[in-house]
Amino acid sequence: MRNIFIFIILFFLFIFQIFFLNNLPLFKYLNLVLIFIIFFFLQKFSLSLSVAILGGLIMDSGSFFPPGFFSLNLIFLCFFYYLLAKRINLKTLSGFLFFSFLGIVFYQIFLFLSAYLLFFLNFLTIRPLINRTYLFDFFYFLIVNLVILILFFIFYERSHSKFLEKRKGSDG
Amino acid sequence: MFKVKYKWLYIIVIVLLVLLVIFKGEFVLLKSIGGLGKFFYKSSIDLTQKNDSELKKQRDNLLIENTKLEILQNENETLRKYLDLKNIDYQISLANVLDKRKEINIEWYLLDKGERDGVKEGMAVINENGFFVGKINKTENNFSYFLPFSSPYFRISVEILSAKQTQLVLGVLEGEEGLALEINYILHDAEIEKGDKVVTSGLEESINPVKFAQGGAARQSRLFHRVKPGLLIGEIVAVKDDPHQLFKKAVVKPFSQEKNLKIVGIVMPAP
Repeated sequence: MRNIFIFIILFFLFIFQIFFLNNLPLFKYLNLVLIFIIFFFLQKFSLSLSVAILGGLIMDSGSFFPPGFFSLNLIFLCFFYYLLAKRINLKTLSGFLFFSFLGIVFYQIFLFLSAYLLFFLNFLTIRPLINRTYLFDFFYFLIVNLVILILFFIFYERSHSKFLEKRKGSDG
Repeated sequence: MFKVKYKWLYIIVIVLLVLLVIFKGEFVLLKSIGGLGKFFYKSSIDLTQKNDSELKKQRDNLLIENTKLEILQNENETLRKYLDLKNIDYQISLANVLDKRKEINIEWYLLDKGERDGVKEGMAVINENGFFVGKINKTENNFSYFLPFSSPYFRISVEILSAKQTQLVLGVLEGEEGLALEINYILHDAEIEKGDKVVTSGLEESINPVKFAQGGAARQSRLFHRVKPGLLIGEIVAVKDDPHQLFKKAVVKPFSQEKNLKIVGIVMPAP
């Protein structure tokens, strides 16, 4: 029941981000789907995978790219993150920061490569370019999402430790 | 390997998604959330159009009502302008902008008119003043996508209405982010100068707004263009003439900026 409630909230949050925040100056670099996928690795892999499917489907709606482009990319990324998370300690801030950094960079690289692949397979009429604007957007995307993820981590750690303390107190 | 509950459910979803990609099916979700998306998109555009002080004033209920009326009035004026454009000899199909997005450096607008309404790939998109703003790049049954001319992926054949030259001056306009665009592949002997107008040449498939003279005589069609020029794009602000290069280049200042578009006109072929 709790998970269903979370997913209903996430559904509206993702729609809000894609159709509303995407048109505002700095918020356009924010990607809540990616943030939640990475963040939920602190809890459960299946939660991240479900977010990837839900977020991917919403990102695919109204997308210039063929249907399924974002959802499949995000699902594939999820499995890639799983392998990555096994080798990094996500309980520390530095570990999570490194994981998030790699996660965001690989997200951009995966999207670019798969768009290129679609172009070669004639699914896409436009050939993706790497130019100054792309690199500029890449940098801003990395900074904005990384900052939000760090804030999420700090908030999560604080609330988590408080919860454990309370639990210890009530047990004692 | 992966510890996931309901593994079979995830596998089914992934298989369905793969099938969706393979068969290029029109996306079903968009239909249901299109309205919601439009609401959010319009709200964000309204928000960016107003400055901070105006937003603060909106706390007052009366002002909120006033703003709503203002928005309606603006929309009404935009539609009136499109009605005035109806005097020209091409048809316009008005479309609402549902969303504007940018992914992997590709920027596009989503319109609520698609193949069902006769929209085809390559058709020109104009704003309420009749200025060219982009062209349709992808169509679906109920929706279409257009690339604005500011996109680095944008290419279109253009004609320069040179005051000096009587011969046809053609070039390829290439999209660029910023305030100016560039025309490439202009022949060296073409006499162009600052202030010359740039219009769509009509050589692009499906983008011919004026009926070309029967028989395909280039000169006749050009004269027709002169009297009733094609879709206006902008004017030349600088000419780059390098004797070591095969072609000339020209910098164009567009007459319109495609930002904050809500309603656009799709130029349909004349009946």
